[in-house]
Amino acid sequence: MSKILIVDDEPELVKAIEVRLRASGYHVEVAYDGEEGVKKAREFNPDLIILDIVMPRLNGYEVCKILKSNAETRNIPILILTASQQRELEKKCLALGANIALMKPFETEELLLLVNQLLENQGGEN
Amino acid sequence: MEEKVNILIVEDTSIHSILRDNPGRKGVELEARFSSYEECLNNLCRERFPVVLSPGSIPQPLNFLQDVLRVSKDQTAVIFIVDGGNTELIQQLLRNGAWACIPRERLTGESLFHEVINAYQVIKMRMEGFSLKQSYIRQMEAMVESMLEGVLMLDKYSNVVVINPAGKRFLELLGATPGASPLKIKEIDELFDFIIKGEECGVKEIELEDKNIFLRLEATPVKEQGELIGVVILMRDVTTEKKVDKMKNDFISVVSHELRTPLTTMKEFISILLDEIPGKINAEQREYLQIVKSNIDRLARIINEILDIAKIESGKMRIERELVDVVEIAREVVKTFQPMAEERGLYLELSHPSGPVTTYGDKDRLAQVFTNLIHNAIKFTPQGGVKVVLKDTDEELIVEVIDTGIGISRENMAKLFMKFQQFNSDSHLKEPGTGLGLAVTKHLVELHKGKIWAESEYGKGSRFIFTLPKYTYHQALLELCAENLHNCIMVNKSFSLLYIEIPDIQFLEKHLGKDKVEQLKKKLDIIFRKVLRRNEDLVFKGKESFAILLNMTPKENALVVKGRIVQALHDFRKEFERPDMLKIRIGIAGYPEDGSREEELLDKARANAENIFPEVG
Repeated sequence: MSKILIVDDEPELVKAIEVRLRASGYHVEVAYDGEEGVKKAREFNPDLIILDIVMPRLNGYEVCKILKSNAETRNIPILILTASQQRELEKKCLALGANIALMKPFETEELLLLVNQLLENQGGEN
Repeated sequence: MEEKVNILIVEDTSIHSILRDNPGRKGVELEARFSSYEECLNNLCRERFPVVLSPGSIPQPLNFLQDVLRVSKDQTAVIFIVDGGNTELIQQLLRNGAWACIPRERLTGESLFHEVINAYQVIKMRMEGFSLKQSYIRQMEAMVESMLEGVLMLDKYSNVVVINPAGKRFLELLGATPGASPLKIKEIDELFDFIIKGEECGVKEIELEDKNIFLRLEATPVKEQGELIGVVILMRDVTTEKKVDKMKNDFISVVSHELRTPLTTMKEFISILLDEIPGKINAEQREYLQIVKSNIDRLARIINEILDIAKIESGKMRIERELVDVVEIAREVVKTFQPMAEERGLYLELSHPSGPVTTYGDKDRLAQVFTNLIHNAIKFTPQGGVKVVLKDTDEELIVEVIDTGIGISRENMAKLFMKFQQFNSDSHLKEPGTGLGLAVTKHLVELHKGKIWAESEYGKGSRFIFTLPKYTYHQALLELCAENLHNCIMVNKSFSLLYIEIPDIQFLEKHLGKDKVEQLKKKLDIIFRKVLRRNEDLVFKGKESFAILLNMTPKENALVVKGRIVQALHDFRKEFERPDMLKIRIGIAGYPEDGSREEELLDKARANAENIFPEVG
């Protein structure tokens, strides 16, 4: 079963995504700020991270920077969630190696499709 | 000693009795003479009268005025007592050299006496060699003097011709010493230069951080019969506007974030319910949840469009400029609408020239233009269908979205692209719009320097047409440089440009294959973006070159960025499969050192480009 880490400071949205991903058969862990996100990424070693940009204590871009500069976490695919029109910050995450960005509010089908694709490219389940 | 002033009163003796009824002034005595209208000019020939008083009701007041000025060689001031309502006559008289026109209902002995003495003194000065100041000019002067905006006019030799009290205050704020040339102030010097060189308008905004004040200077040429005689600079305190602007922008970004997140949560939970993850729902429940979902979607669209409009109106909307294939964009949008068209029994077709049609533009924004036009067309078409036609001429690209729908009435046509206009009140539309789509669409097309318009026959369908200029890399780069450079100049900041070239790209393509070269360029793009640390820096990718635009960056700082890029490229080269084949050149230019026009900067950066590798020497 693929492991997915959701990092977002909105607990209710996290819950919604969690319910959806669990129902689709994924193993889900959650973190509610950037710092916790980095910590969980190391402990939990997920196959994919869903990452919000605007968050307290390390924003999405900073989290990206830390994860991508660390050998253990460098290869975990990252799906960026953005709410504000911060195309530049989003682009910088992509330049750092985040895989794709999805604008809130997104279509569930699109989220599931992207999650699926990113996991497949990663080499499937472990 | 009493000074005697001769005045001639025409026709109306009541004027004299009013004039006598005044407190008078020490040292001046009025000596009034009377004359009929016909005799007046003869009297003026015989004797000098510095002031003539006449009612405006004489047979031909304008001719009379001109005759008096001619006979007295402009040495007589003519004051008319007029009926206040006759504004046209008053303006004509004033424009033709009348000293003043006093409405009869406001006539008092004191005011008339005052006007006469004023006129007499100016005429006296004029006889002593001063120029006659007509009341029109006096009023202009008074107006300029009392303006809240600072007004500064310099002649073409940069001498101060006009400066009003507000202007003096603003110059002081900017640190000018009284009496010294305003050109000592850098911004004014630059604006003056700019206009003298032939520009039609120059604007600068200056922030006085210590005083918490924002000033805006606007310079325009002063012309006389088409010839430049000087420069006028208008100075305004725009502190409040700036604060409001900032609040508006903060508000917009907060709203954007704060509204989207709860919407996402709602949408997700609704779709979880609809997909029956927690348990079964019945048909009626499903219907209601669908309604909630479609309303959430509508709300999301409205938020996006309001944000777009706000951005556009505050001038914050920036478009990307990258090589795009418009056929590809159109095809993708058409594909997403195909199910919707089918569901309604409509055809949706796309016709385009074979092969890609490329220009430099913003892929997402162009897709938004297609989306809005096609979505609208489908919405307003009950039967028949929608056709999207792409045409490629040499200079531009023409896109037509043609429907067989309800059409647009003549009176709605004029309001079509305005905000919050909706023309669907009587229709059976399943989804109401936001009334913002077409306004946003128009702005997006115009940001691409294109045009958009509509043709329609009411009841028979509509045709929306937009054009996009076909940019080459060079044109697009110039456009982008111009925008960014202009913004920097406006706020008195520097601007730097790095130009990075892969000189033998065909050679590389031949030996490594096109795919590898494309990958190489993508990697370089990523390297550059990593090196740049600020959001306002831009990377612009071309066929065989990159331009990096460093906003608000002095050339010396740009040299540091250049150093970092060179270092990163050296590191990259070590990993490249054929380091021996890789040639890269880099050049730099900065405003103000290397010029103030985008062409100059680009030429300069190209001209001084040097090899990074193979290293020279």
